[in-house]
Amino acid sequence: MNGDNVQAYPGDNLAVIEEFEPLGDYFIENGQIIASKVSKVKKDKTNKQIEVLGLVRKYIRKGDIVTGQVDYMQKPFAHVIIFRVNDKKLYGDIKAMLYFDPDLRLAPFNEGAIIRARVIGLTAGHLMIDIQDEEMGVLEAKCPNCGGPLVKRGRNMLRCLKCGKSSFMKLAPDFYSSKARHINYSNIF
Amino acid sequence: MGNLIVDGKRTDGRGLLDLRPLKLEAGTIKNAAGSSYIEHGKNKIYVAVYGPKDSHRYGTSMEKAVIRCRYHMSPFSTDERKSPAPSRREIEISKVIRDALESSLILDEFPKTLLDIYVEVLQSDGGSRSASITAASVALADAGIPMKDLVEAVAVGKVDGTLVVDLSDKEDKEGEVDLPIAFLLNENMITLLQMDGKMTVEEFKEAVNMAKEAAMKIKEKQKEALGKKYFEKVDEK
Repeated sequence: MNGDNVQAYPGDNLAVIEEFEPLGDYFIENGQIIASKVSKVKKDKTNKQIEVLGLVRKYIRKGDIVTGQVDYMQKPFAHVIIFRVNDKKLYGDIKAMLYFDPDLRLAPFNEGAIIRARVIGLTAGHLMIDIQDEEMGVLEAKCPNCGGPLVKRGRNMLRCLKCGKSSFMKLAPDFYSSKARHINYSNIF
Repeated sequence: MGNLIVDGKRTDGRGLLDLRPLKLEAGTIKNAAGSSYIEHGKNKIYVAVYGPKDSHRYGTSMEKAVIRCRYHMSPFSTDERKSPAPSRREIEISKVIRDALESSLILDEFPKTLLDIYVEVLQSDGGSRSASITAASVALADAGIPMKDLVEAVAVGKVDGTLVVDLSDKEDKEGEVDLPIAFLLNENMITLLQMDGKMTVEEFKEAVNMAKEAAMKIKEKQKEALGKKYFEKVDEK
C-alpha cells in the first residue's frame, strides 16, 4: 500500500489510525483504516494523510448540489423531492427538508417550484438542504396567484405573464421559465 | 449413489477442491444503480441494485436503510417450466441472501431509505444461492454502497462419503450433505450457514476450512470484475 493511486476494494486494510489521518470513503475498525468502496488510495507521507477516493458515488452527501421540486410547505419547513444530484439523475426520489424563515411575509419559493440547493447535513434522519448561496435558488416556478408563467423582472422579482401579479422569490442566477420561452412578452409589458 | 466420485475425480472431471468455471462482470445493467452478472458452472444470474431511495412503507428504520431482496427464477431457468409466481423456496432464499449481505453493509449513512436487490436466475444449476450472494455483493459495490467487506459464498458437500467443494446440481441432489456458507473474509465472519444432511464435528470443521479457501479464490474474481470496470476505465482516461 505504498505509493500513490493504489487500488483498493471494500474491506481492504489501508493503514493504522495512529499512522495516518484518513479522508474519504473509509471506516475504522480495531484501529485499522479500511476502504468501504472501490477506491483509489493516495498516501501523503509529509502531512500524514491517507485519502481514500471512492470511484463510485450515486447518492447524496453533505456539500452536494441537488435539484428538486418543492412538494409542500409546512412552516418553517418545505419538503422537497430531489431528483438530481450534482447534475446526475438520482435512482429513485429522495425527500429533503428546506428551512425558511416563518416570520417572512412571503416565502422565498412556492409549492411546485424547481429549486437548486446545497445539502447541509443529515438531522434526525432528514436530509437538510439550503438555498442561501448565490448560485442556489428557484430555477423554475409558476405564479402563486394563477399558475401562469413567470418572467424575471429584477434580481429576485418575478411577474406573471397571465395575471400581471408580481412575486418575490430567491432566484438562482440561471432562473428560466420554460413556459415563458414560447411567449413574446415584450409586447405585454 | 456411489458413482459420483471415481479415482478422486467428480462427474464433471473436477478435483475435490476445484471450483466450477466462474465468470463475473460488474455494471451490466445500465438503468440500475449497481449490477452484476455471474456464470458459475451452468448458473447464469443477473443482479440489479436500486437505491437508496425514499421509503414510506411501514417498517422503515429511522436509523438505517432497509434492504429488500427478491430472488426469482425465470420460468425457463429449470429443466421443467417453473411457475413465475414466487415459490416457498424463492421466498426463503430471498431472506437468506438479504441476511447474508446485510451484515457486510454500512447502512446507517442512509436513514429512512430503501435498498432493493433483484436477483434473476436465467439458468439454474446447483449452488444458485451462493452464486447469487457472490454476485449481489459485487452489484452492491458497483452501486457505491459502503461495505465492510465483499461477501463470498460457496457450497461444500459430502458426496460418496467425501467432502467436496462447490456442488453441481447432480451432486446437490444425490449427495449426502449440502452446506452453503458465506464469508466476510477480512472480518473473519460467517454470514450464512445452512446445512442439509448430517456431518460429524470434524467433517464440519474441515468443510468450513475448505469453503474458506474456495471463498478466497472467489474474492479474487470479485475484485477482478470490479477492477475491470473501474480501474481499466479510469486508466483509459
